[in-house]
Amino acid sequence: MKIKNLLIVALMIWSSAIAQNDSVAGNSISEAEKITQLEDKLKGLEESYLETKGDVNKLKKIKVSGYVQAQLRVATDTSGIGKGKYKIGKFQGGDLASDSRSVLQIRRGRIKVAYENSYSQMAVQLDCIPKGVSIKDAYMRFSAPWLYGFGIKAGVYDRPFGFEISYSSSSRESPERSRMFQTLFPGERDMGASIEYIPNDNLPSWAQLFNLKLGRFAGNGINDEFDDIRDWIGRFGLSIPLNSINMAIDAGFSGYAGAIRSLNDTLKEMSDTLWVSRLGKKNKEIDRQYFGGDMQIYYGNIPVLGGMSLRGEVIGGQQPGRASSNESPKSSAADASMIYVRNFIGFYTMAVLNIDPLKCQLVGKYDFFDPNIEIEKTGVKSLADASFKTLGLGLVYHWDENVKIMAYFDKITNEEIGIDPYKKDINDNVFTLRIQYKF
Amino acid sequence: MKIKKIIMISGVLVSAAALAFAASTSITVKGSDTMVILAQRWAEEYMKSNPNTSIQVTGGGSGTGISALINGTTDICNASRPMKGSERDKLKQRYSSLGVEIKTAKDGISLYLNADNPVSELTLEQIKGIYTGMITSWKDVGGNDSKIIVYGRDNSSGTYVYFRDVILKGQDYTGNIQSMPGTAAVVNAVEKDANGIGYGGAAYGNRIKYVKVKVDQNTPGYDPTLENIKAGKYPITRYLYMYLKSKPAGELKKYIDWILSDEGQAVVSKVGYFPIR
Repeated sequence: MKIKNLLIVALMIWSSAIAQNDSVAGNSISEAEKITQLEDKLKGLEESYLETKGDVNKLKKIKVSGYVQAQLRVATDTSGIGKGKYKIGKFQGGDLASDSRSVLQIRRGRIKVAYENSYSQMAVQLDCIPKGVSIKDAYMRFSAPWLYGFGIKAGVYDRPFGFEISYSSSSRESPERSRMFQTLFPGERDMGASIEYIPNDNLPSWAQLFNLKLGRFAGNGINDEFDDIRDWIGRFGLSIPLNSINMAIDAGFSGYAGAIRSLNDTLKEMSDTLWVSRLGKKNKEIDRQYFGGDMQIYYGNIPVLGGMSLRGEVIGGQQPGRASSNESPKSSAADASMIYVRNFIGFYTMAVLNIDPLKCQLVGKYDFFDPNIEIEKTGVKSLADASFKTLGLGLVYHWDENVKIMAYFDKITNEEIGIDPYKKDINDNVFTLRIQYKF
Repeated sequence: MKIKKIIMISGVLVSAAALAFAASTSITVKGSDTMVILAQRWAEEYMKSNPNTSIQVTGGGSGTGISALINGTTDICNASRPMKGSERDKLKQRYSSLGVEIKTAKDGISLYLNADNPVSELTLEQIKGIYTGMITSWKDVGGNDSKIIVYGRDNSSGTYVYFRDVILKGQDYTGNIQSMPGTAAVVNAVEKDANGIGYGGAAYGNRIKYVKVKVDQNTPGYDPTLENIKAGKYPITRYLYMYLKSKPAGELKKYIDWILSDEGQAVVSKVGYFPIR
């Protein structure tokens, strides 16, 4: 309206000038004609304004967001580096170079473009870092008010399992996800389709206590599918807000029911504490099954400081890995090597304390992952079977709405196993200093 | 030793930066356009008796205010609608808090008509029909045979969201709606447009005609007056909220306590809204 008023005033001044000129020229226009002229011009401007407004409204449906994380990582050890003894930092943002004990890097450079209509949404997210550009998300989602919070999602996006997978790296208070998630769900995303129930505010309060995500996925991350086996992944969540005391309890139960195809006739399984071979397994489907539980407790009324949260998550199950790695498939080609079936368990617990007057957060995290619960200590002959504990301590400072700085130290303790150099705890602790810009 | 030095230097730098930006004495208030006049009056009155406190008030809409609260760029968010679940989730993620909700006043959402419009009463169903585009002529609601020109707020407005959720039952607004950047703009438009209809807070509607709102055809219509709202007769009433990240302390607490006191609530009545007590 302000613009419209300005235009009217401008038109009046302009018409007044014209009138003066006309009067000087002795060619005066009647008042009625002047008003008609002005009205016509105003109508033209209004039409133009509505057209522009329509274009602006269309543009408002496009939402662009992103963040960049630049960081310095420094390893505490010097003894093994350069001698090929062991790598450092794989689960702290990637292996350090073998002859280096620090690295300056762009960890993530994300840009997300989403288009949101009333009942549908699509989004594409790219990761642009010096190593190259890769797709992180490419999905569409359909929902409508009369569907009572139900929607359908399809494409490449976060697997609906647990809490930490879908907790954005730009918001997370630790530099990386827990070791178990990096092993079981490398890259977090997968290709598939799911049904979601995310209650909206118009539903009765009891219906807002639950949420559900359940879908079928390729099981191979963002890579091309190389078999016709699809995996079921789902999470049933509870969200209990206790507004009167500014507290919330969220929890969830997750399941993964899938398989990978063995291209090798031999399969390795544990029997007591020994690996045994099972024959006749070529082209057989080998189960990949996880069960998980997660809980987050938030309390926002700590005097002076603000709020704090306690989070924990546990996952157990059976993982069909390989001899030297227990990682889930993340390649575009099928692996013909022998499958090693391991029963695993992992958990993490985390506390985040806000210090609002200083715009800081104090972070403590303890993370444990045992990829093979049936053998331990000197019985372990492969790093793929060794358990790891990681104690992380950090400080996050929120400079402004866009910038945050994180200082974080990971103390990593390996199981003392039967192979060198892991017969004792190696010195592979890592310190990370990160700055993030988000918009 | 080098790693220890780096950790120590990082810690010192982060702590120093944090301390340098801490301990702000001013209070920032951002959010609902419906509440902006009320919030300004509160701030003016409070600063008269507390000259060492600086309170900055800006509008922008409830959604904008809540975003500012989540981003940490405001101390208080004014909102003419309750915070959405998705907004609470963002606050929870960043501050481990659901936010502190304070009901500060009551408001009747008024339906504005041009003073020359013969229509004087509308049912909730008729209002829904007009704003969803099912009713397009004044003739269908007892008026002249002319097209209804629908004015509303843009989607950052809490009134926009409240009206859509409560009156339109979650349905979308008609595509022909003219979205205005503030309640004052809606009032201005309806004042000049003989076929216009708009909605907004009661405190803005001095130069236009109020519609009596009826629950249905069989019930009487009520004006958005203090008596009707207090008695619960006027069908479209809502609370006006303030949201904070966490339990207020210090000067912030003092200011909130003052708003809820008799003195603060007297300002509510003066501006044209309705005290909570």
